[in-house]
Amino acid sequence: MAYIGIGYSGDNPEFLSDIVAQHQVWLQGDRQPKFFGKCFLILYDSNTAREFAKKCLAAAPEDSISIFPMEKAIDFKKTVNHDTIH
Amino acid sequence: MIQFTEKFEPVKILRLLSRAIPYYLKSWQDYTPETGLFGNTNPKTFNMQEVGSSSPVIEYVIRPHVNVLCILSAYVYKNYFPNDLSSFLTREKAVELVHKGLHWMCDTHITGSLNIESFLARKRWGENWRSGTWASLMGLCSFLISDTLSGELTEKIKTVVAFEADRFSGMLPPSGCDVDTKLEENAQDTMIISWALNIMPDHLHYDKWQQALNIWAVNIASSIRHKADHSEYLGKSVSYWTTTQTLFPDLTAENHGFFNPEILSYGTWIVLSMAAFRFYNRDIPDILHRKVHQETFDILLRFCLPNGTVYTPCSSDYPFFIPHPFALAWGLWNNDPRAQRMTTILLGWMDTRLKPADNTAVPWIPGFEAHYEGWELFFQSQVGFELAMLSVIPFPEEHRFYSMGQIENAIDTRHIYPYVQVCYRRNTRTTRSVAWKALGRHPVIGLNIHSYPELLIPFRANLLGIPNVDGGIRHWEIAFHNDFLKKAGFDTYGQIDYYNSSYERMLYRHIRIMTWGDDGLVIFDRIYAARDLFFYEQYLSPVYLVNDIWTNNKLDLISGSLRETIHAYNFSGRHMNCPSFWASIESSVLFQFLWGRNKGLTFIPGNERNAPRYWNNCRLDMLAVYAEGKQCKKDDIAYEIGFYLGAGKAPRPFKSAGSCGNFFKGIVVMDGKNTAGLD
Repeated sequence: MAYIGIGYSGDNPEFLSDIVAQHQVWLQGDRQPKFFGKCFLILYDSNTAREFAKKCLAAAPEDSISIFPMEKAIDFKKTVNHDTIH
Repeated sequence: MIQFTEKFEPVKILRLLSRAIPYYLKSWQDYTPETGLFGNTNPKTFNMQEVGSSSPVIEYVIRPHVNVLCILSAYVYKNYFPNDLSSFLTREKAVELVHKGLHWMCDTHITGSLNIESFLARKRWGENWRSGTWASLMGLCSFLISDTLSGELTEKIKTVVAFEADRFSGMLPPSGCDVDTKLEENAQDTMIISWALNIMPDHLHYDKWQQALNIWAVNIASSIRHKADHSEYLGKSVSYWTTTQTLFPDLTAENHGFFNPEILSYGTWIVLSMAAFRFYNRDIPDILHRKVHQETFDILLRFCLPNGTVYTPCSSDYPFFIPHPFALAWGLWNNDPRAQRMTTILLGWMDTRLKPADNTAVPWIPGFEAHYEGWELFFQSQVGFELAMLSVIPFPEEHRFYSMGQIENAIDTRHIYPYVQVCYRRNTRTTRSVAWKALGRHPVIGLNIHSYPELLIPFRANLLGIPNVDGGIRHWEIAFHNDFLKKAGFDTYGQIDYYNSSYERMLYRHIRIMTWGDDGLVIFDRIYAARDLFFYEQYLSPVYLVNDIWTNNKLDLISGSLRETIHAYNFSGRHMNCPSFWASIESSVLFQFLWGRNKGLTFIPGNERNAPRYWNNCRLDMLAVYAEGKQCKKDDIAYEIGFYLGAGKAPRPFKSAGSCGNFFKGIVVMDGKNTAGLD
């Protein structure tokens, strides 16, 4: 399972939410982006996710979009279950 | 009966395919004088609209439709209309239906003007996860019937193909190999770029498509080792352009969360890309001929069963027994005698084993009622599409010499695939596997007897079962496993933990599985209570047996003095206790206790077709072991068993001795000629 993260570092804090809204009908047909604050979102990696990233790059001011490949969230083991140790 | 040879003769393949034509034609709906559809835009059965994602929802409308268009186009391309089809299909009729079907596809694409209510919010198809594939198949159709197409329809198709190809210019392909590999997706997206390049060589975007092809093709099948390939590519290096990892380092990958070897048949899409260049008499780009595709093909081949179907060590969430006659297309394109032999065997199997009861029954994947729509039509049309491709793709006509021994040696395998957690042994007589990561996230132990490859299915938790206790078991996880190659196979052991709905550990289970001789498995299994609990009366260690069309709707059971034939049409559900410490089914497979217990073996008929919840196409009976209900204290043994499962019709002289230590260490197993001490 792989994801991409799209980060925005420009002056318009609404940029990402606006572009998601603009493409919402299309994105609804695939998997929904998950926002972390206003300037970072994560999408399940797929051809449509990459297309959305391309649209972000095209619409944003130069050098204000960064795209990160992401494998998965780090799974911090909540507890060590001593019950499982023999 | 059709006599297939390794030299593919399109006429014979189309003859086989013609059996399904009445079924496909029955799905046709005329919408207007110019448009129509194979299937239904909102199927009553197998409708997955609740999924909500565009590709699954639209796929069961568009994909079967375009599959059938390709099938009919193959008949037109080959200009072959056998006499027994004459009352159903003529050349004129086929051309008319393909034209109408292509018109409908163009109109309902987002570059068209016709809304379809069931196509979610946008009410059109296009720009979807799979729509590049759908458009590629339109392009393929347009080539096959090119001499009949009007200029207007040709232009409309070009518009759709160009739109879908444009999506992949100026961006990098998606990545990932675990849970859901991007192998197939990237191969399919490469295909639409290839078709666009060939259909529209004068298009303004040609250079962009060419660049996109170069980048996507190098990222179809990529692993970490390609990051170490610094050879020249596009003025830089392969490493530079390889931005994905769609394969694990051992060249396996996961789909739907586990390894299904069929995912390695992605080469079919590459062949369809290369075919675009061949059809239009252009040079095939070298990048489509990567060595890694041959390597993954070699792995796929090792999972092909003697009837030509593909073994699924981790079980499968598709219908059972879907034939894929085009799965080995990569080998066929490269003149691989193993691929030719396997494909021929599969065609023969389809010819003799899959005979629909009448013209309107489902043709290729029995067990479904015919509804002529939705996913059912998709599965049935996909097989037809693959046959059609076998008949039209220009495979090499010269054949290399080979012997059966060479072929068998080539697929003799003893391998541990660590990334997908599969231990695998295949020889001429059997295929054996242990998949620690499998359907339902539970391990699956698999056996296939090559003399009767349809008999056993590695279904969910096969040969283990999922135990039940007071308070319920809701989750499980593999704590660890240790896998070893042995001289003649493998030996693997590990622990499974079971939890209730509150994630409290209820049970832990030690299992150990080793290959035995040429054709069997020895399985040790011990379940411990992790807390005080009541362990329910239940059946465990199930062997799933196909009692359906593929096994002639009956199973013969022998156990000691018991002789029974269980008919598939008998739904009494009566359990049969086996009186002996062994049982054999169809004189082909033997289950025999060898440690821990010597009774409780029970035959449990399936009451209804019993497969994953969407695709109930196969009745599975069960041979399982009765486990008594009991109150257990923490660390008590709730269930323990050691048994043999392998080819055979009568008990073998098994003996076991020694004391059982951790993970069954210390036990010695003998069966006359073989002795093994577990260490």
